[in-house]
Amino acid sequence: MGIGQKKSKGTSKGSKTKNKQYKRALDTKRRPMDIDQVQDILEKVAETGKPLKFAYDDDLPGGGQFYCAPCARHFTDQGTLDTHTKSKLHKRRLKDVAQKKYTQKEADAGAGKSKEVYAPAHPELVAARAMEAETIAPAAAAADEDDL
Amino acid sequence: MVRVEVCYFCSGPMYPGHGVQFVRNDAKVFKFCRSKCHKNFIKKRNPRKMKWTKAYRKAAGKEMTVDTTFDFEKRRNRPVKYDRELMGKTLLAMKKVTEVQAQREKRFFDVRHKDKAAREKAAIRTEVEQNIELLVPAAADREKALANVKEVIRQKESKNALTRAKARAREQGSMDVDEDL
Repeated sequence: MGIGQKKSKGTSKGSKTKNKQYKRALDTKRRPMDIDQVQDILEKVAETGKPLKFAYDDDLPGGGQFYCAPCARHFTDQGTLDTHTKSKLHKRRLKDVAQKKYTQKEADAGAGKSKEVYAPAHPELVAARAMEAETIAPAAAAADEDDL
Repeated sequence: MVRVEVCYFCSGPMYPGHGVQFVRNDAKVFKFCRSKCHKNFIKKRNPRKMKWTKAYRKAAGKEMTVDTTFDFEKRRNRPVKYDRELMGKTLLAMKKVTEVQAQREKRFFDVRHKDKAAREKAAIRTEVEQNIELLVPAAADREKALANVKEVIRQKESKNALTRAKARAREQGSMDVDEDL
């Protein structure tokens, strides 16, 4: 609590519980990542094939060098990270992360609503772009031959 | 523009002046119809796992998910010139589609609940068989007690079958005799 701030009593909007852990969980000020954000990151990692790397940062635990991506947490050293990966908490989280991502689209589908999907306005352009991407990607070279 | 939004958590409608918006620090907007949904989101709960949400009911097969009537209510980014006649037709179609949807939902519900009584009965029976010592604590021999219960059930069933056969004979051609076990 900085200078000039006063601890609010009674009139505070937030949770009035004395249980700090619970209070912290409902706090949106320093909110940890949501599961869909983590899923986005992991998807990107899987796509590029590069593991997550952080530049050395003094403010983070362990300088930000020991990170558990699914749990979105930094650890102080390799030892604690290893114990964490063996923990129940981590394994439970892995299960959550492996599930299908929940989006507004699913909520809309629940209400029987959807968005119209349009055919591309310039199909020839889209096809050309796809061809380009295929020729650039070295892995796709073999598949390209099969097509021709 | 005023529009009825869909709640991120429970898929309920959000009429103008209702609900809250939560803007996450990656600028993604979440809309909630009431504080219940908002609080559950803050607690990082998965809507697909809360039984009172539409997402759960659809994912668990409790409600119809695939149907052509769902294809009508769509957000279309295509401008349509106002036409009084088209408007009238659309309103009539909306009414008709809602009726058809309600009918199909009812049918889905009926199919889902078709053999509910039989399933419940079977579940109760297995429970009794598994916890027979609670019902008959004095019985020293579990197997014996179980055999007794099974014998009673068998007798009852054969009696039921008999009465059913009689009933069937009485009203020939009637097909809706309930076959429980």
